[in-house]
Amino acid sequence: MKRKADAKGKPKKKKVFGGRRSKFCKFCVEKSTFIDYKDVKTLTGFTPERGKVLPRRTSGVCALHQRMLVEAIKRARNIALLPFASD
Amino acid sequence: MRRYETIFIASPTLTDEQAEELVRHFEGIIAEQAGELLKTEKWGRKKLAYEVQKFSEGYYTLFDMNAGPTLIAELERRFRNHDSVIKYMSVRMDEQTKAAERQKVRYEREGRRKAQAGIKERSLEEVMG
Repeated sequence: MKRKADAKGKPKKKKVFGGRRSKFCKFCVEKSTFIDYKDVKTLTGFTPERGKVLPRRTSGVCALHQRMLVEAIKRARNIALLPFASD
Repeated sequence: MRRYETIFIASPTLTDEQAEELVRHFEGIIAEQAGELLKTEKWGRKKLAYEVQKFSEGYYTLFDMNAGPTLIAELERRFRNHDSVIKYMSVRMDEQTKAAERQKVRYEREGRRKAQAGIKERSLEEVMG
């Protein structure tokens, strides 16, 4: 399938992994051994508007790091750093 | 002794001085019960992600300490009975540190294996595109 080209003739770069770009686990690249529940900045990146946890199939996070991430998010919710649900 | 992190949120109706005094009060309890306080982090007045007891703000304070289980139980009991504390949480950290070390070893082994097989590690810029 041909990629849609924009006015300049360059292939459009998609921000989310909708295109052909392969997913990767952000935490594996950084070699993180532990995801901190106090690091709200990182955690909010994995909890879109509604406040739910972003699924692995969307984010590309590996199983090990997803488990750590979920634990961190749940802890952050407990101490009101992240919402349980929001609209 | 185990490593714990305890966070508590003080009511926003307190003044800054009162909040500081509350922190000192709990620090005193930790010292009294033979806990080893490693670090106190005051995050100041922060917005809460959701309402707690009808408050949408609070003073966050984090204690990083070595403590026995009796101290944690005592500290949590005091938090519960204190009107100015609207939320608290204690997390045990030493098991996570152990797991982190195991993971580090795993990464090193993987790195060596890749180096031997001649696979180049993809750099962060390359992966991020």
